[in-house]
Amino acid sequence: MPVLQRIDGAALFVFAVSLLIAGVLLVGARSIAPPLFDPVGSAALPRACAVALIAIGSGTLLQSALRPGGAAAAAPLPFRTATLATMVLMALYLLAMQLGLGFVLPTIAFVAVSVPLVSASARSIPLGIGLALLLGVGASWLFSEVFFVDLPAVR
Amino acid sequence: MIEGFIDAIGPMALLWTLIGTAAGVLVGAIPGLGGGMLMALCLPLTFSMEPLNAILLLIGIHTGSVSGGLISATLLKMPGTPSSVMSTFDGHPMAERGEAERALSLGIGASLIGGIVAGIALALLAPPLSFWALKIGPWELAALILMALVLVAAIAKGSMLKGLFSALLGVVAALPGLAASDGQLRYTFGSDDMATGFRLLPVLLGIFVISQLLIQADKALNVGSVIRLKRGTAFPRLATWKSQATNILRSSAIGTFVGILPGVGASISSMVAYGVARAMSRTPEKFGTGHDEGVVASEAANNANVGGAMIPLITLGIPGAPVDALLLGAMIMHQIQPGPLLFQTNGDLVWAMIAAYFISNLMMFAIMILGYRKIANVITIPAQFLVPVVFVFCVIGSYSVGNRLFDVWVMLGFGLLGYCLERARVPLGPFVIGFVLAAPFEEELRTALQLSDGSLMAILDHPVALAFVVFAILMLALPMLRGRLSAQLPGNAADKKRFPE
Repeated sequence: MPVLQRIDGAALFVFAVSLLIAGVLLVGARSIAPPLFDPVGSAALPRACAVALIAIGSGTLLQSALRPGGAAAAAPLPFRTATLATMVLMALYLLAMQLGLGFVLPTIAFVAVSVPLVSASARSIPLGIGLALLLGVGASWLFSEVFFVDLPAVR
Repeated sequence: MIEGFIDAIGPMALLWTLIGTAAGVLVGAIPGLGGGMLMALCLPLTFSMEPLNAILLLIGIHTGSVSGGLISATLLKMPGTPSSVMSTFDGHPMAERGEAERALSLGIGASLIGGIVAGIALALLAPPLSFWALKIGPWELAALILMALVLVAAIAKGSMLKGLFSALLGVVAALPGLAASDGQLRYTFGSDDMATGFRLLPVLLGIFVISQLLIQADKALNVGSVIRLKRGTAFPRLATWKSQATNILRSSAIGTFVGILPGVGASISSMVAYGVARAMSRTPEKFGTGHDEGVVASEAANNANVGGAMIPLITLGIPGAPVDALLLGAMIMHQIQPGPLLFQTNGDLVWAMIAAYFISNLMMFAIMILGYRKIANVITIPAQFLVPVVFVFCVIGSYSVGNRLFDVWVMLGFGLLGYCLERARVPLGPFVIGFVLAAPFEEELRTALQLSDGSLMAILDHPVALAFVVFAILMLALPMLRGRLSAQLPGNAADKKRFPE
């Protein structure tokens, strides 16, 4: 099997993330002022991390290419569409609060939609709505009135 | 010391320890949740609590959750917590042949003894270790932290390179914001919010909780079936305990020792203890088929690990296991700085923590013996309810740290990162340890280099620091040697079949 085909997706992911972060670290380190009173300065650790990341990323790629059994031996775990939808829903929930809709309404909407979405069944819609109302109103009351924790407010 | 013990047996302290232990047992028994998740979720609730009560609550959760995992490992063949993985190998086969009560009772008893042995070690070792730690300087501390990072990465599940990658990512995540050594801003990308860097709680919630929620969303339709318990009790007789005494004490000692090693979690303890028990057993062939010795070794070791891991946490400020990073975070949030000075500045609190650890083990025993039948009925919560409810609590927790939505986005971002890392089989434990230890490592190293005019060779004048670095290098080299050795040993294929990774 050609070497490139033996590399598994997980190793490629580690390599790509290593290079990306190392690049960000090295570029960002340029704008850190040189040390004033200590010999290494605040840019030393980021630079060392960048070098180590490149070495580890390359090592992971090499290890994957040399592994007996190739890509199948350490393939990344499978991915389900519901997870992607849950991620998007979580981001939309936070966005709604960021836009000033407060805590209660976005929470009710998020829970009501995510329960049937995760279960992939329309039968859980009523349960989802009940849980959404309980969490949206109940959690808001519990945290603001009992635990005195501030929650995102309506603007 | 006496005052600390009295503090721990006050009514409120006992109540919070009980609440923590009970909640820990319950959550530990539910696959997909776990002590780390509950501790992270409870952290914001502790802001308004007395520091002592807050810490006792978290110790209770930690102790309870490690033990609770036994129930689902035995009845569902799904470990409630990673530390109970080894218990599934023998606990579940016992349950399948109608000995579930016996497996649970053995595991619960072994957990109690493991916890007590580790508690004694904690009480005996923490004071002298703390005294020794006061004498060591920045070279030794920097080298010790480096060793902890390498250790946790080297023995993490899967590839060592991925463990190191995870630890390094954790260190990198701690870089943005104000550098503690010289007050310079780094990697803020012009954002005022980034001036404080990524705060501990949102990062921990993201890595520990959100990533697991996304994984649960993957498994939404995959709920196992629980083996039903019979009526009556099946607590083993004294003769059984006598026959298991050596195994329990040995496994407890292993669990405690592995716990003391910085950064190594309870799952490693139970694996090592299980392996040793099998190697020392007269009937090794019975392991994996529903054998008393397997359940006892695994459970004694994982509970002992909790106490052992508190030793480096209290004396050096280094988490003994990834979950201990949460305990460390809670202490820092309550203005308690773990480390060599803790015995001097907050001696009563330390002794109260040690006493609470003993108490929570006793409470765990009582709760589990009296309640495992009830708990067995509620251990399968469908993911469709778990995911949204826990996420909403995470949002509240992250927001409450600084009343800003930036922290909530940070939590989500780290959750996605954690999820991707899990998909790529990169362990998350080293990430948390790296994140927590990055700042003290940089601070100690820079102080050490300042004292030696920037020369790294000055480490040669510090034999203890040098020993830590040599140990770290050995840990890096060990997997390569182990790989060559295991290839030459016969019988490995059969073992892998019976004890899958």
